[in-house]
Amino acid sequence: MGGQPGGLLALAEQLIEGSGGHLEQDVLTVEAVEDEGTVVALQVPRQRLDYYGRDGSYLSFGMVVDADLELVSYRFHYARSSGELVWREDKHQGHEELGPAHVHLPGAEDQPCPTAEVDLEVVFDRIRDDQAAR
Amino acid sequence: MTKVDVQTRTPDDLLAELGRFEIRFGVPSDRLADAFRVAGKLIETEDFHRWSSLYAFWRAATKSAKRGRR
Repeated sequence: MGGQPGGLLALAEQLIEGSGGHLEQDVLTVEAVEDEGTVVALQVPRQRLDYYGRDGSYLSFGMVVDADLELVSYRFHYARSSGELVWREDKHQGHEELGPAHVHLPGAEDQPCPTAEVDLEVVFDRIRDDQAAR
Repeated sequence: MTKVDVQTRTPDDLLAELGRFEIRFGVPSDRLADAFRVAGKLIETEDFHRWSSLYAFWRAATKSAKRGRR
């Protein structure tokens, strides 16, 4: 797979490999749009990394990457095995009052707060810190 | 090694999928977020997340294709 987003896919594979989690389906599914043989956009449709063997927490994630390697949309939902939300980092349209990047926190899941954009590396660092503290 | 399954999509099939959302909610995609508002507040349902991600994917794909042909 050519093109810059293909390079990002390689980075994502590497990060997932080192995340400490296990892909629910054992395979990372990616959708790619190519233009004249070059990947111009990628979508990682919603899938899940399980942290079984630890405390059963999981990360449900999905994202869209453009040709400039910008994460133009994402959803990183980190929760306990019971489904209890730890945090959900989102980037999408529809919250004009907050801007596209926002975080949903326990107890006020329907009242997201504005936050800085994150990437997979930041997400996995935070999960590692959380898992180490448990 | 993480196994990766790469599925090829085209802007046309993304547009067709977006069209199904537009028919279902009766609004074009550039205003479809409004279909998920209740009293002005966005309700982030599973449908909203599916549509929003698909729309972002289509916009990213078509933006790059348009730029490449300039």
